[in-house]
Amino acid sequence: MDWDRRTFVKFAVGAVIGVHASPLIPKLMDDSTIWTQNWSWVPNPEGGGVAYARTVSPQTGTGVLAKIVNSRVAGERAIRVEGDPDHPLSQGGVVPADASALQLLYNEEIRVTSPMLRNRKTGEVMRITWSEALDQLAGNLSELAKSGKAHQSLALAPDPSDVTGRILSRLMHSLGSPNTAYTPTPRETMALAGVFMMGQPFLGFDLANANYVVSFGTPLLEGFGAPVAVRQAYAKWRGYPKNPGTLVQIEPRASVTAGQADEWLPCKAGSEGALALAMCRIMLEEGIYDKSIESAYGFDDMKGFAGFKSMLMKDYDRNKIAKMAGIPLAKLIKITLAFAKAERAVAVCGPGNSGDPGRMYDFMAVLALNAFKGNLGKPGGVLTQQPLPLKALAGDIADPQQPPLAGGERPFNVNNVNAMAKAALAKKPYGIKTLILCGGNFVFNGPQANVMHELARKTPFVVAITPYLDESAAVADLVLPSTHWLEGWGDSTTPYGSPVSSYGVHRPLVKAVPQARDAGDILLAVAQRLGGKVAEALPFKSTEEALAKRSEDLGDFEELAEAGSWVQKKAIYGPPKFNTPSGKLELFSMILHDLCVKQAGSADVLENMLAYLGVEGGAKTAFLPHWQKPAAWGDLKGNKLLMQAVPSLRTTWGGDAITPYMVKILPDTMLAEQDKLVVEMNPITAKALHLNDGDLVQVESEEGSLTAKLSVYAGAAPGMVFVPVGLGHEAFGFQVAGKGMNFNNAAGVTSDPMSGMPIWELTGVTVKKARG
Amino acid sequence: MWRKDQVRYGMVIDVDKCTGCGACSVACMSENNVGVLHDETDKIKSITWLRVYQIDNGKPFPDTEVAFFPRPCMHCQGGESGTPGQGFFQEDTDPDAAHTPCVSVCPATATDYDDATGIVSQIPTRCIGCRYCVAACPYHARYFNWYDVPWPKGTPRALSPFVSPRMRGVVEKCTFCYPRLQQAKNKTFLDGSEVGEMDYQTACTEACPSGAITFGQLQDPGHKVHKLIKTDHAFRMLEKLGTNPKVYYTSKRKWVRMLADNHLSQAKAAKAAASGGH
Amino acid sequence: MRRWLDDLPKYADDSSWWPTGTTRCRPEVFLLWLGLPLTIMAYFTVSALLVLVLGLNQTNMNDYFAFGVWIVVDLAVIALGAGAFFTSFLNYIVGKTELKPIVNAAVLIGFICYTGAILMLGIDIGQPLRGWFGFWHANVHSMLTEVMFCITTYAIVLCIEILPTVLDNRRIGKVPEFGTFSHNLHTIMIVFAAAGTFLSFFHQGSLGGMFGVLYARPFAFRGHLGIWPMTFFLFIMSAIAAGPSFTTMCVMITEKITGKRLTTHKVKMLMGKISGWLLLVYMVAKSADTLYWAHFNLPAAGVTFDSMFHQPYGIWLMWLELGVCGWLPALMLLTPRVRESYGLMFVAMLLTCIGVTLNRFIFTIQTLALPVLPFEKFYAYLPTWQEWGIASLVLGHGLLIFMLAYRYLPLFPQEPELNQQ
Repeated sequence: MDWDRRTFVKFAVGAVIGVHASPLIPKLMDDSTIWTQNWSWVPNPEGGGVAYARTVSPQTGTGVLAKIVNSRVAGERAIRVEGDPDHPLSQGGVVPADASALQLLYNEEIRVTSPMLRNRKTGEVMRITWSEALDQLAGNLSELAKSGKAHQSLALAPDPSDVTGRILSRLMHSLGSPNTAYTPTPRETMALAGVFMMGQPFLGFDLANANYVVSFGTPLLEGFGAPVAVRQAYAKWRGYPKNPGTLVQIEPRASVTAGQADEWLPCKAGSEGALALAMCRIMLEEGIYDKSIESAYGFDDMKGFAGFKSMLMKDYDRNKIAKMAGIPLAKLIKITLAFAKAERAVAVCGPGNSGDPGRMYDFMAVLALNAFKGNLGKPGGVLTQQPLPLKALAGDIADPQQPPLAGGERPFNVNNVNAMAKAALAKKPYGIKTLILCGGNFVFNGPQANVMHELARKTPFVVAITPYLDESAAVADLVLPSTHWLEGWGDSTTPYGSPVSSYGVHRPLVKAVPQARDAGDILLAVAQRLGGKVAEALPFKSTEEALAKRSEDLGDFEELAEAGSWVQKKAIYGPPKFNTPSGKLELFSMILHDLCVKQAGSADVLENMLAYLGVEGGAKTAFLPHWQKPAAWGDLKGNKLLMQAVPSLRTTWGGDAITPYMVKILPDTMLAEQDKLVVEMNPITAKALHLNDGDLVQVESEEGSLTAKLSVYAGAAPGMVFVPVGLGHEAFGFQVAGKGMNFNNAAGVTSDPMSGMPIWELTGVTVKKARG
Repeated sequence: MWRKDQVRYGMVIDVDKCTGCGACSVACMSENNVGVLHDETDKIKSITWLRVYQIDNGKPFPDTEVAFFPRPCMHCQGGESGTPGQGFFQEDTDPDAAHTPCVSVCPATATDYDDATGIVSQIPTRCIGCRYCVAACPYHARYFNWYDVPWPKGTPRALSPFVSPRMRGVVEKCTFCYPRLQQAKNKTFLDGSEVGEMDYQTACTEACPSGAITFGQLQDPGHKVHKLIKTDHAFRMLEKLGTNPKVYYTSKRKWVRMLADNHLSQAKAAKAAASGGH
Repeated sequence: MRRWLDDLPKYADDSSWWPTGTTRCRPEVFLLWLGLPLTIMAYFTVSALLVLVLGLNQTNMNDYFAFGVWIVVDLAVIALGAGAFFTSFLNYIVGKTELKPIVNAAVLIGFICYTGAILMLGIDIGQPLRGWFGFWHANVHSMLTEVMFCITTYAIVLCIEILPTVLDNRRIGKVPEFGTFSHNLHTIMIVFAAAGTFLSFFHQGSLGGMFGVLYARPFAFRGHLGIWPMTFFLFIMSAIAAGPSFTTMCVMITEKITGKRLTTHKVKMLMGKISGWLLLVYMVAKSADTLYWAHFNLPAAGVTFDSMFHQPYGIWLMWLELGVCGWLPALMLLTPRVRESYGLMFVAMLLTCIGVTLNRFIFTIQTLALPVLPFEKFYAYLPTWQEWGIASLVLGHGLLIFMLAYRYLPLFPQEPELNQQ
């Protein structure tokens, strides 16, 4: 055939017509569309049978349900964490951290997947076997013990009351180290205040039954206690057409709680305790207090000591305090009268906005106010919890011979991780050779993160037992993968402020990292390798066994594990039992007095000792609920501002890191464009410092500095700067790392004068425009 | 008149109970397999089916007040609104009367107004990504997938098999957890009962720790939402636009009602003011 | 090899393809000129590949600015390309044969505008491979469906309308089959002109309707006339007013670049007059609409006129659109002395085109920039270089097609006569 132009054209036209007549084009179009629905990089979750498992999140102490899908190929996997409708502290509700816990659990990029050994010089990381890893740790500890330097080790864990904390403490004690410290919590402050005034360490607030609640500087809706339970109580105060309950929030910032409160008393930061006492005084003057308080020990003057009443009359004049706290007197009186007259009113103290454990004298002042109201043991008042019926793991262990790194010089010893770290760094009384970071990510959470980081850097051998490649793992020589709470055994005790005690057990529900072991199991294995006294102190093969022993009195262990929790059935109403020397409520704490005298050696040097501790006012008021000027007020010279954290359930205070979903829902008043931290300042303060909304500023304290975008917010108290807490991770993958900066780098941590607990509610800082 | 198979699902959010914790938002994301991008501060490219807005009354210290507005998809019907006494709720039972802002503009029928439930659906695999619906929605409830979601290794294990993860280039939004309704229907089909109020609840409603969200059938006097929308403090966002949304809010605080909807009918605003602030 | 190089000038000599009776620049000069559109096309290609492979995150569009510069350019070029349908309508259907000398150019410009717009729309959607769902799963209630159908079909009509001009090429026309086909096409062109007018009329309107129906977007929403919102008619009116201006402007620019006279000034003046009258009618309607919108539509939606304008999209934009680029060119074009002046008429036509482009910009960007939720923030929008790259497609492929067409096709029947030495 002649292949001329004509033939070519014919052929081409024919081909075009042919292709169009064939199903080729529609078929290709259809295929390409189907392809867009099956992109290999878009996951295609496999289905399967669904089951729910009960457990308790140790982060919040509330019951949750894990929704688990059992699929043919992928096996069992948790797809959701929901609130447990049957758990009294949850009732189906959940907080963001728990609802998004799976994002941390399953992220292999941020989990420790096997034991790792790091070469400090080269930074090289080597994967090692469990047996090698345990040998390393046990070897290091036994060498210390053999050379009589067992005390030169320090172990940190998040919770002294959980099984891991108990095992760790026994391990260290039996090894001969007095140095274990935990994340400080308001539970400890409350226990001190409770014991000193009532002889009761376990107190809670019956928020759900209260109809008038005054919160003294504690973020009731932003992280206080068991957050879900608090919210359910809060919901009961709201109703239609009238609110059945009233919430009064006393704090310097129009926070979430202040914003949702019926009444916001914007006081000068740190003056909350004084206001509680001024309210006592007003009630006293107006004669609207519970008359039984008059019989409390220390209400009237005693031999040698002025009583509470005299102190109130002398120091807590309503005018003076209202002026000092910067609030209108009329408002203070109005709230006091309403509080006094309310049927079921309660005054609440708790963690500070910065997440610190609170100041002991403030807690005592609030307890005194509750006693004035006469709500102790009454519905809607302050209740004593039934102590958790938990058993000790084994017999007592003799105290180590060496004094602890810090706290030995005080009348009573409390857990102060910051003081210990600083003492170790100063090598006073001694330095440390080994640091065990058993969860809690202290290098990030601090409370003074830079101090913890420096300690880890300067300690020859650092071990991190953690589920995550977190900031603590980054500075450790030996990293041991522990289980996430959905993967392993563990427990948790009553959250702060709860009116009833509760105990939670979590068990392995799914497996994300096959190599991960329960932190308790790791410690027990080390104890076995150490042998001798240490092995005797911890006669368990596994955490599960230790838990079973611990919860013997709670009935069948398997049933308990299946149910996930034990909660005190009924709140204890009725006059509380005062386990005080006087058998009464003690406004003048004899226990505290006796402890101080004992520590001082004699009553003559008592004043010296109190002065040494920094208790202002000396022995005249030291044993009464009173108010101490916050240490940070002393720093306010020149251009200095007070820095306070902004807590939120969208971030975290200590504990696990913020999750990717939590990062996602952060408002741009916390994290601004390109992951910049946002700090808040009152317009007047900003103007005085020549700063504008949106400026990049440098917030500097003695401990560290933060770079942030300035947000001018009318709801922020003048003279202060407010910084979101829980941001600024360097670890946890691209979804979490590099978002904002860490408040705990700049937080100034001091010790509460009397209790010696670390506090960091307020820090003196300078704020200036950042360069660049 | 309502046909027997017609119901209208709706939501009432108590702004006074909302503490802005974000649990609803997170529960929603985990229920519906929403992804997390590299930069989530870029809110206008970030996907949050249920976004919690923080607002304040704009007053200087110390009179500042804050409130939170959780904002899911409003599942608008459009058309005529009812009277304040009815809580403005009056939906046309005629399917052709529905004039949802986003549904009417979609060229590919990728979003639809369900005549049986009043739920505005979204079919990501049908969506061509023209974003006309995004432009049409006054509540900013519609989100476009600007990016491929970067799932870190291992995290797809936490994905729910009941909701397909979306590909880039399509629009997504709150569906009132529609798969939950299907599951509830499957369940009740077996025992022959009706889908009851508690059989079908959205993930956000369940998760809210302060119980600020109520979900149910607006037209059914037996459901809680039916009563709640008739209270003096109930309102809808942007009432005057005529979107006829099925998400209601309640607040005792007048400034909140005014800020969220400065178009409340005069009578209702006055009545609400008389019944006292928060 | 050597011989091939020597023969190059012979191969490159394309003078036999030039329209009869015209002269064109030397091939190497033409090749140099082609560099301009080809560079733009290369820029477009890089941008398009980035967007298609990596997704729309390459743009600065977002959930606020769901539409961006592409939609603005689409709307603008479709409005400016309206010269094609309206000139054909006047020429073939109304019988204004005075326009014959310019109708080919008008159709070609229309063709360029529409094909460019369709290509850009294909990139603009998040799932280009599913673009055909708009036809397959069509939602008849959507203005966009109407736009999609009409634009696609009208683009086909434009192809057919332009075909005779292509076949009239000196060399192609010599093929007997093509010649006959072309002749027959000419005779039935009135059918396509009618079809084109019908389709164009509707999609110009539905493009306006797209915004006018957004009843939850108070800035864009307009009252209805029949089943269509006011913007439906306003968009048609502004498009047919600006289309002739744009066509004439293009011809004038070509004249300046080539240094040849392509049509008589009378033809241009007629186009200017048509444009002027239509613009006047449009401005009356648009001004009335704006007043009604400010006094009735906005209060009904619970917003105020002032709240519609935020910097950078301030009220100055409205004055610029309605005053400087609306009433002013309308009055200018209706003044015979302005039309008689080549320069002044050009300025008036340019203002008209800017005015209609501005109108499309305002309806797209300002509508979206205004947060409707009382507590949403106000954002502004700036396109990325990738967006500009894709938006420049119309310019690039427009220049390319127009240059080739001008060189080889008898676009301007008056050219040989007007340029006799």
